[in-house]
Amino acid sequence: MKDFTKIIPKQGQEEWPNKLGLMGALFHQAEYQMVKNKFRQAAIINVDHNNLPAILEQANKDGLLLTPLNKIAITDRFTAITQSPGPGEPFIWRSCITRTRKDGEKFKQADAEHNHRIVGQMLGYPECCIDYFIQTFPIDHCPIWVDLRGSVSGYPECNGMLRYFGPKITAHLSCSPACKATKEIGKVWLKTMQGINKDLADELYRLLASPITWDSYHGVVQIETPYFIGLNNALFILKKPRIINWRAINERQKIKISSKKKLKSKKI
Amino acid sequence: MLLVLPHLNCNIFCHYCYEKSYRKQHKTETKSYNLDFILTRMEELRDSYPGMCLHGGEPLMIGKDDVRRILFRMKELYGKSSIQTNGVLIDNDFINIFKECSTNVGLSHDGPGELSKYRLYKFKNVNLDDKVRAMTKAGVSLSIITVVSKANAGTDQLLDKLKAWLLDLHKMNITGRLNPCGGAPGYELSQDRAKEVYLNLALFCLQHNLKWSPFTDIMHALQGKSRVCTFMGCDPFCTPSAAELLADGSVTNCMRLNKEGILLRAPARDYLRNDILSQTSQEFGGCQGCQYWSACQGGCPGMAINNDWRNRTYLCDVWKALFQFYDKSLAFCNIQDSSCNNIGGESPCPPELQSQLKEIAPGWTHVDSGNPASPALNLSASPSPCPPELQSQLKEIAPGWTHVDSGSPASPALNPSASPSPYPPELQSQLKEIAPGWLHADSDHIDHADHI
Repeated sequence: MKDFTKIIPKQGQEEWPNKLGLMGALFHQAEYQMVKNKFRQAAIINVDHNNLPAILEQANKDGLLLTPLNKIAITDRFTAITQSPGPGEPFIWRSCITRTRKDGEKFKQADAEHNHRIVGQMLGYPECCIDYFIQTFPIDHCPIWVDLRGSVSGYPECNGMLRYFGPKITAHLSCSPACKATKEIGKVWLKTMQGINKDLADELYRLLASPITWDSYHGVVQIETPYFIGLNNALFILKKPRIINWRAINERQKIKISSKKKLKSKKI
Repeated sequence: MLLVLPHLNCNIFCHYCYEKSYRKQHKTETKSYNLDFILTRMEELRDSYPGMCLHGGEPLMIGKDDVRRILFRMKELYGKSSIQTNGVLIDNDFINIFKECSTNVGLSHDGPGELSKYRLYKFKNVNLDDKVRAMTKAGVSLSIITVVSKANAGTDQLLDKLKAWLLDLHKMNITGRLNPCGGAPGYELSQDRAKEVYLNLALFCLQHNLKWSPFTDIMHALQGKSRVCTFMGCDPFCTPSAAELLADGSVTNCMRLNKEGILLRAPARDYLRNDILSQTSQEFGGCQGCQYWSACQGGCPGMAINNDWRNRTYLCDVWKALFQFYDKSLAFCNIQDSSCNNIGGESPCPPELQSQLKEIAPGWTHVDSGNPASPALNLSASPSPCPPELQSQLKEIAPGWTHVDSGSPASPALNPSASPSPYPPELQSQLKEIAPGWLHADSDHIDHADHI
């Protein structure tokens, strides 16, 4: 199946295709800000001849360095695997932004060597998620927890089911829907995004906290949210549907339940 | 076609209605629309659609004034108008409105009496056939959509009644669509029965020169011509044959695909479903390798296996049997079948089928052979117009062949045992007449309902 994404809003939710684009842009701004604000050593950024002057100017202003990594073919869709451009085909530079030249060189070398550990560490990913990536990505590039199906509860910070369409809180694929380390890092990302556009960041969080059904079958993933249905190509063509029914863990409810239990046990 | 839906309410609530699950979850009010806004939207959308049809729910529930205003606006925009109604509320006033607005009326009607028990269970005294006669008498353009279910085809006796009714309609020059009841367990025919019924009806229609869909559509599909949306490779997120204008002014897809809530229409049609089905093996719900792929394209996504549009239709066996039936009928009539191509195949007709046809009818050459010296293809030149082999094969495809219409003394020829010629001359000439006619059938009179 070729790469594609498609958004179909539900009645009364016409603004969502545009909103998803804005959320994607917000995340990219946060990626840059997270390096600038010293929450991570590096960020990956795609540069073409249109945005090169603006990026260089901004990086110079912020004291950051842009290091080209490799040329990749242009796609207007989300893709987990980048492709090299064919001869004469248009391309963009996959690059990294760092605060120091040393970091830039280190990242470039690790990237060239496919050293996922160092790349993941420099991008600020939790160790557990780097381990998960190293174990699963060579086998299954599907960005959604490969071994899960059915009812799944997790933190919105870990919810990567809509990343194909732009919305995500963290850059990495979380090792589980309830990864505590991702949740902690996600708080920093969310705060950074709130610093750029609070309303949009809050809406992004609410979206990722809402009930979502992720359904992969015959090479197409269909993701239903309360506001829209999204379609994208799956990296694996499944002969039986793999369906995840996502519900966000409600922290407050959890606290209430556990405190009620404590009270009961005290009475006993 | 843009279907104008001022509301989704209904007055009869058919047991098998495909809007039922939506209605269960959403409150539907008849008078919640703004008529002026709808009329404005119709005008705005004029250039995007080749025609419009007042639809529902039951559209006549909005009252005569509003019906007239909408139909009149349609006439202003297109020179004619159309409506799809259950007919219960039709009276002389409505008939006059239809005449005034040059309205093509599509009547949902499953047949007289008990045949309509899934529809008119609340209105047992309503006689739709009286209304049919009144409209015909008044010169209103009329066609029928009949849902074939257990109520009108569950037994051979019911099927005989249905066929008798089709003949009555034929006398008034009325045709329409015989749509399979789908997505309604308990009311729809089993797959085996549906196959039997549709093959029986196919033969019956062929014999009596009744031009009903899906049979005409299947003939068109085999010819690679325009046909009903079911066989056109529907994009479930941008249904090409039926867009629906809702009371809030938004445009959505065919309601067969809006079962839980309403999804808005994707801005452009794509062929994603076709890509999936053509690449997925038949064993896993796709259509890979099917010789009727380009004629059928997986059927309606609203009636897909497991209710998942990424599968082909669960009516596959029924459609395939009909495609086989008409494939052979077309070959018999020396009509080129341009759509019988396997995916990736170069020949328009797969070699297996060609050799099969040759085996069935020695000396007959396939129509694509380009061989001018194929006298057997000219029915009049053939000493034996239908070889017994072909007849027995058609019998295999259509088990109803031997007993179809057996109660009718006027058609003894269909019973091979009663006829000295296994393929009677009347039917031969009928086939010759009918099939080319079907290919050029003017479907304009049913253009209000070009989706099912």
